[in-house]
Amino acid sequence: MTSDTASEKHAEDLMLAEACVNGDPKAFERLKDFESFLIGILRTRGATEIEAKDIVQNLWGDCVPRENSEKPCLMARYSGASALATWLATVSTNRLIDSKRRKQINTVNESVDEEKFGKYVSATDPDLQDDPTGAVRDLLQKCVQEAINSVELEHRLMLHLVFIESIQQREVAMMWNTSNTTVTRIFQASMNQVKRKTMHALKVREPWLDLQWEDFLQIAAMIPKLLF
Amino acid sequence: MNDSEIWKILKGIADLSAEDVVAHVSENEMPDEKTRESLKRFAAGEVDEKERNELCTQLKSNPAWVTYLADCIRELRTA
Repeated sequence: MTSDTASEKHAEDLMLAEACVNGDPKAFERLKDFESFLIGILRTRGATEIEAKDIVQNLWGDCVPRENSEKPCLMARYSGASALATWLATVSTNRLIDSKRRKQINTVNESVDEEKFGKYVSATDPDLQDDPTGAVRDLLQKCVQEAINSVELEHRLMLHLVFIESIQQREVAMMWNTSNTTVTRIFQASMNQVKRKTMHALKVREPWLDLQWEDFLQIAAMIPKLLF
Repeated sequence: MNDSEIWKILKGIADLSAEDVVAHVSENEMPDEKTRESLKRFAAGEVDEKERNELCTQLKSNPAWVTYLADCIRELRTA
């Protein structure tokens, strides 16, 4: 789907966002219809009731345009590349990750583990904090890279040829002088490994974060669209 | 969601990294003649395991060459 057709698909959401940017109070009320959905999402992803409510209240505060404020209205960042509900859920998750990291750093008064918190500064930069491609992108990207890199190089090439270059599986089997069944087995094992390693990497980095594989894919699918 | 869609999503986010941006700079670079011949033989299933391993390592360092390899496979369909 091109970004234009994606925007058309979410035209109503885009109109709502634009109305919020223009300070329409009715639009803001409609936006608040997402409140229980967002609190629910945050709760299932590891936020306490108080954390979830705080994050959503702060989110609404940033959706209201303020005169003489250097901070732009958050809704101005919504491009219509994904459904507004999905976008708001990602922004909220981004804030949750950020908030948990802040708390963790405040708790640990010792020197900061740079490997773990290397991106902390940029993730909490006010300009990036509301960017759904901030902390959450960094986290997902590291987990996926770790998982993909764990797959044997030749098997990664096989997957790339079939899934990205649209080469037929039987052609790949012929290149490796093996059977179609063997390639199928390699694909299944590799995909299972990527899933398992991704979720493991996520648990190691953010043990409190309760993302299901489907949630992970949904956010991962959205992020590149927000960049280009 | 099938495996192909999942792989595209995962590669989409994995390839946003700075390392991959650097790798894509050389995207227009074609493999040298010797490597092109090797890739053609790889496409035809005519390389042994040792050579295949070496080619895979080369392809990892030169991701743009994977497209060349894919083109070689497609050419074989019409040969």
